[in-house]
Amino acid sequence: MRNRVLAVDRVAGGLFMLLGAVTLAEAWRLRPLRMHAVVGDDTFPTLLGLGFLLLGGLLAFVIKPQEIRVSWPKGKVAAQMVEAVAAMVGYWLLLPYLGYAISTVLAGAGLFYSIGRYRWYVCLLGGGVIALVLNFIFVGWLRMPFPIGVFGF
Amino acid sequence: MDALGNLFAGFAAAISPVNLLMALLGALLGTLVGVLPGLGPTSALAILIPLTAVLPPSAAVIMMAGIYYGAQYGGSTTAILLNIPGEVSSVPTTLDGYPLARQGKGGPALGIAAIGSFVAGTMGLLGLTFFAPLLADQALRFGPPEYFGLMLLALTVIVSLSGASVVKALLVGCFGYLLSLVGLGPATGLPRFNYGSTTLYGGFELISLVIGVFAVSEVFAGIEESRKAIAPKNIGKVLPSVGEIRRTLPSMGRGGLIGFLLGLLPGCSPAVTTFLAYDAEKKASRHPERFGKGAMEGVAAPEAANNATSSAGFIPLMALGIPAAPPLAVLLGGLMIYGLQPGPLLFQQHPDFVWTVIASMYVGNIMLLVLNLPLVGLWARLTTVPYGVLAPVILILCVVGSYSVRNSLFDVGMCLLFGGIGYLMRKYRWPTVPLVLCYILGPMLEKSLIQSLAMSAGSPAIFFTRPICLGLILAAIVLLAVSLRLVRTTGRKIKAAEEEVEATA
Repeated sequence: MRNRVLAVDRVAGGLFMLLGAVTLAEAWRLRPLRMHAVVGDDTFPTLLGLGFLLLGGLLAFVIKPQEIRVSWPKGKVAAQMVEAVAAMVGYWLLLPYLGYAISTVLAGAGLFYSIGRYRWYVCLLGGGVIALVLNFIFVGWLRMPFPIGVFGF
Repeated sequence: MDALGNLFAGFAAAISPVNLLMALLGALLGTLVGVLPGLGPTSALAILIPLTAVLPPSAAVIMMAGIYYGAQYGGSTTAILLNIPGEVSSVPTTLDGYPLARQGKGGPALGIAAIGSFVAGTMGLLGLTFFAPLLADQALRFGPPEYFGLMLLALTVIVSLSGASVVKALLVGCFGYLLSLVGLGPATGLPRFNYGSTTLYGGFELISLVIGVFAVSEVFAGIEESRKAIAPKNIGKVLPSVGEIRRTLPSMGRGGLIGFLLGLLPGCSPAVTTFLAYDAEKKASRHPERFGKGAMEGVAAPEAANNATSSAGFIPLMALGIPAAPPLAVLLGGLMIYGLQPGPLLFQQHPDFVWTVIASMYVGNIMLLVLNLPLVGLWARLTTVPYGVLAPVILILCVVGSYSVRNSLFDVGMCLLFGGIGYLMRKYRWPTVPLVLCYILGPMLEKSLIQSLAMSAGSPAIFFTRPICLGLILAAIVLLAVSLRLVRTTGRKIKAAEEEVEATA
């Protein structure tokens, strides 16, 4: 069976070549804005863009891809990881609306459940403890302005 | 003897109550980080930098330095007691440390590791005290072309840390450079790579990048591996006998010297020097057959090399502004947040700060020895904390830490994005360290390049007609070749040792 992993290096090389083209396009946009005749904000991006094209090309077309076996999580572990990612993304999205305290309790509870599979009340308690301790450190001690959300805390 | 005089002045400031407390806190936190899985010194420093914002710069850096060298020691605790190396640099310690623990000599092995770390750490600090100012004095003669040559020298770190593929390391490094370009251009002050988004005017935040690439991806790797808590064996007495100390002192000296000298080279991280020190010790021993079965010298030498390399890494950082390892790159970023630019001018413009930090490292080194030996039982018990408790705490800290730098939800989003990128890079064995190092060095490299070319009206010959710059470029080529050879040679040994560790687990 052909190992599909062998194509990954070539795909990555192609992506980097594309990145090189984007970088050179931005360098081209910046070129007229130079304040010196010789160098400007476009100089380094130009060199980088050429570097991406050269190195990406080497990886995509010249160098023999490395044989790396990649195994992806399955079943229960995959579910745990997806749930943990969802909890983190949910935390990020809800922070400005629910505020630091509530969103930290919920995110903490979600992560305790997804990673540790504890009972719901243990998860909520854990989330509450984390929120409290971090509130004491960051808000109480360091006076950092965390989002207060629509509920005002 | 200016250096000694400055050092004593530094001690006067370092023994203030606040600085002593920060050194203690740093050493304890560092050891904790080294013992616990899922959080290396790089991520810990990145998460804790916002916490240090309320401290004066010297106290903050003292704590951060303590975390760095404390973590090197902490990794040896699990390496010896549980056959789980905290970092790659602790793998050689497992080869003889774990057999010693199985023979009921885990306590003395930990004691030898602590004493070896202290002896070699002190050697490294003495080198830092006398070498760094000399190097900084020379670097004052540097102009933009010389700084460009210096950045090229720093690039050898990237290639040396590349593992198997130089091209991949260079590509990742270029990606790091590209990320550093997002924001306002240094020449015109006009936005670059923002594509109309005002959020990107400020570029990407270093802390978010580091937390994402190192901490978030590491935690998800831990979830995937279904990491479990492990109960360590009974440790017993921790202090080694006088005979054991006497027998291992030469090993500590040899390991410390190897770690220090090689640690000065960009690219020779503790992962490389510990293996070289172990190898050298085995070759120097009259009974090499004891190695791998519980030889105290097999613990003393790599642990000494580990700490000596950590201390030596501060020399290029302080004197030239070049980070030799990822935690030092984060430390560099932290210093820049405080408005302090490591490099030769740091010694000139902020000598009080520099010598206070150096003096406090001596104090921290003593604290590591005096405090950690009695607390080794506690550190070992920490490994029983379930990963289901540890991982959520680390992840929440990642979000809070990345938010708190600029009070920006964009930074949190970037932390999660880079966490995903870091996870994929681990999966496909792409190196992650070049991303961070080049991100930090990118602005300096660009500035020196633009200024050099402006000086020479666009001619690149300026880099080859100035003797110091040419010397640095040649040194970069030579060091590149030496580092590549060293890493390739030790890479095979690292792989073999890791397989041996897994087989005995």
